[in-house]
Amino acid sequence: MHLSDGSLFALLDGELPPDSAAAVLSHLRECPACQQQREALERDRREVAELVGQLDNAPPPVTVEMVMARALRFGARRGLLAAGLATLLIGGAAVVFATAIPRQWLARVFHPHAASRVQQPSRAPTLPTRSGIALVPGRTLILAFRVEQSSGSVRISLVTDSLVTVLALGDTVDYTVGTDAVTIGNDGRTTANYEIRVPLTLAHLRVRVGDREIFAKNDSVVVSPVPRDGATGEYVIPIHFQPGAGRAQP
Amino acid sequence: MDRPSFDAQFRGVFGEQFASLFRYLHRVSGDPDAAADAAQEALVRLYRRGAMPEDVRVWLFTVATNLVRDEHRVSTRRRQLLERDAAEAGTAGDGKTPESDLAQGERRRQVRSALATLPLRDRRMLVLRHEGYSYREIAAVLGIAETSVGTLLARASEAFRSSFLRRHGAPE
Repeated sequence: MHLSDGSLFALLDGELPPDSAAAVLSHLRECPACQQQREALERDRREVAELVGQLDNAPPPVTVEMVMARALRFGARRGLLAAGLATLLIGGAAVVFATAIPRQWLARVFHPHAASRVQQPSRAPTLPTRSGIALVPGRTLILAFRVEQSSGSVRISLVTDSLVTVLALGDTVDYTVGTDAVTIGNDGRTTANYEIRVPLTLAHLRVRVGDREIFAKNDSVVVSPVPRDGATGEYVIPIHFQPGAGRAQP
Repeated sequence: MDRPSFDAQFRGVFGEQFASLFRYLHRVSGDPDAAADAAQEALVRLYRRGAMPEDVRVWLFTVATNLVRDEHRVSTRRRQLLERDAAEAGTAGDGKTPESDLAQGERRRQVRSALATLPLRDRRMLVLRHEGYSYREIAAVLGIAETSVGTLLARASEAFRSSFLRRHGAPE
């Protein structure tokens, strides 16, 4: 009876317990066929190690501070999100659209840093037929609107599996949140800029401005390349509204 | 453990593990961007956890492995990268790149393509081993019995070597 390749491999890797290693070595001394097989495995193992070693690439210039900042940025809003999103799920999109209450509630959810300053928009946005957020626990997606917006129409479709945060740092932000998208009101009469940030790891995302799709990621395929922020590990999708243009310029 | 102590520990873990984590993910996926993303994400999750797991290396690599577990997602991107590599190799005669770099790039492409023919588990196992993982750690990360690691590694090594030989001949 000969030794298995698994035993020989474990012996070469120094992974056999002492008593097993002693038994295997004892067998090897008596069995030329197993000795030959061990030499063959050793040669193969060396070649494989050399080949795999050639795949070495330098790691990206990521620092521990970048990682900690990213973790803190996500973590700080997690509690608020959990409460808000649970409510959203339980309440359902129908409740959201059927009542006038959600506006202020959403402002609290989506505007944690300046909740008291969020105002009702002067003009109601034109809403798409479908709007809202699809939420599946697991990954986290942040859509961050870093500047005030006041005109135009943006639709953000979240295709799959993301927890969503929307931050608006301006004073007048108008959101509509439904079951699969966030829609931001903007009628195109004034200049407004957005910065949408989403993690590079997000599997599926589409960003639309009006009827145009300006960004799409499906699995690892990015249809419309946009800048990346290496420090935070995010795609950065800028959207600029021109006064009177009536539509956004990505 | 208070936060400053955890932060200090985390910095140590980052310094010890990030490059290794990136190498593992890059070798498995063939996609440096996806590898960088997943490596960072795994560390972000560790930091958010606020406490060190019992075996932090196994924990990190398990999380990272799960982050790239969608073989279809990985293989789609990898195919694109391989096609790009092949295209680059085909247009490599412009004299701008040193010959040694070209040869190295070509060999890397060959190795990557041979590795890509292996089932995902074999690929992960091979790469983990070459990243210095013990059989116990490999078993923990991949969720398999420790006693089967030697056998599976022997098969994976043979499959990889055979694939390389079929495609590119004997290694130099």
